[in-house]
Amino acid sequence: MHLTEKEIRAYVDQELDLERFDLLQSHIDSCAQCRESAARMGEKINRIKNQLESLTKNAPGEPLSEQEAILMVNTRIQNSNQEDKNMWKKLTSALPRPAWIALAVLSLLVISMAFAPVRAIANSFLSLFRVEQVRVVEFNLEDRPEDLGASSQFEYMMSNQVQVEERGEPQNAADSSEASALAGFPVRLPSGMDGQYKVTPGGDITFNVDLEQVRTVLGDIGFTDIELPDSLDGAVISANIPAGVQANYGDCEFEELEDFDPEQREPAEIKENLNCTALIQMPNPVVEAPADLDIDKIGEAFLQLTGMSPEEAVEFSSTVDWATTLVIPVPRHGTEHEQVPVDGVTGTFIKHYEYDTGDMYLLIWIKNDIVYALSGPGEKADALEIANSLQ
Amino acid sequence: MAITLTKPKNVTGRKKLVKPDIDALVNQHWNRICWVIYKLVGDWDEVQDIALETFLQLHQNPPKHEENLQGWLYRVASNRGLNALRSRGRRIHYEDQTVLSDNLETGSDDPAEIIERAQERDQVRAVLSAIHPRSAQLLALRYSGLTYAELAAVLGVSKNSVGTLLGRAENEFEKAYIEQDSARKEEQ
Repeated sequence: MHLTEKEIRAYVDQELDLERFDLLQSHIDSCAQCRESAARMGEKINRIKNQLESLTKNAPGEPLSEQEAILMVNTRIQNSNQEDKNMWKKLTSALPRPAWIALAVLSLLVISMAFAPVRAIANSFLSLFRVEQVRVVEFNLEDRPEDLGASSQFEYMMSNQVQVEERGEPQNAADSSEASALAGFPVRLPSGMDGQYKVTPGGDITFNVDLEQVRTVLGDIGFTDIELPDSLDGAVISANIPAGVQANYGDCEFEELEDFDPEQREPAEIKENLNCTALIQMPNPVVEAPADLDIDKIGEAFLQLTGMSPEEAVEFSSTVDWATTLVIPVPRHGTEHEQVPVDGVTGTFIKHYEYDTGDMYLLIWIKNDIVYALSGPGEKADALEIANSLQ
Repeated sequence: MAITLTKPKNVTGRKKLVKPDIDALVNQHWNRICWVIYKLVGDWDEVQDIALETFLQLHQNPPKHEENLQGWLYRVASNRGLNALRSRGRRIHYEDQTVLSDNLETGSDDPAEIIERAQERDQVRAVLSAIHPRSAQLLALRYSGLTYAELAAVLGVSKNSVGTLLGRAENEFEKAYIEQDSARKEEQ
């Protein structure tokens, strides 16, 4: 009987308890063949050990001290907390705005959030759909490009190429039947909850694309390698955004955000509304664009803005029908997302967590051509309970 | 059924995650983790960045079902180090004698000897980036002094199978090393 390779290995590596070691040692002492095997294995291990250890031998320098490291780790944590928080605040605070802006903002996701002025451009680039499904794409904060505000051409482009027209003023409604009458579609509300209902007017957005200018802006913020189809030049893209209804529950205080204002690059201080649950619903927007527009290419450009490489963008884009899919970028860190059955259809559930404030969620689904977005504090079960009680 | 959202203070489910004691973990593992990463990337600036990002990730996305945070730390740090090495490997070939992947060593005054040893290190790293990532990870950790038990926690395997995995990783390493060596000699 000879020792197995595994036993010899453990013997050579001294990974045996004392009793077992003695046992193997006495066998090896009396068995030339096993002694030979152990010696060969020891040589091989030493050879590799020397090669691997040469990588750190005589290294010029050494790690920071633990005290310095603790300071640096905590600095990095604080910076990232601040960044995450700002982004999520902007994302969720967008919901209570007029519903059509909210949707545009959603589709823009964090890009619009991270670069407030992009909100308006969202309408032009990203509303090229009639939403039937929702996909989530993860967005890496570390790869975030420069702020759009860094482009001197951006303001000029926005004022020159994009027109937004709102139809009327927001109105309050007492209940679902009044809201339905004002908004012009059957409004559904959660049962057993008292809230405040606001009907937001629809609007028209028109984007006259000057491709050269768009490319200049992208170049200014460091995206020189994004390819946009030539067919985009001179295209007129228009979106008809229907009136929507927003229902607020709990402690909701929303300041109306200003429309895009080139003079004001920094968004106003945003309240967190940690105890506010809001449900927005609106019929699908209708977007018209020239038939020969290469939507896949524009989708790829959008994905690259979220930090994907051109190759990744092509791959992801090939799995998306851009005409019917709302693609929501979410920050990779601090969020989770999944598909969930809700209200008789499949919805998308996104959760954001923070140590100091707890969980916030965003649940989006589309039913009978109406887009629903529910946001609030809590867990998936809380969101589903509300969403499934609509009537 | 009444839902109590009108009383926001009653909102349920605001569960908080248990926060890992990051300071204590840095204190305990920083030095050894840095040496593991240095083994792979050979550049202190890069080492520091990777180690900091590892602890940041622990803060942002702590493992949910992981009881062994130490295993998680060494796994993530060595993965990141290996990714850095592998992505660099696609840009730089170790044969290129003008580019040495690491800081030059101290401890010898003979320039020829220093260069030669740097080339040897480049070759070991090239082999590590060429073999299966899990094998490279295992070797880097083992020869940074991790025990079978520690390796088992990193890899999520039983301690009993560590020896076998190590043997396999070493065979793979030697085979690739010999191949690269003969390829290099042919070119010269």
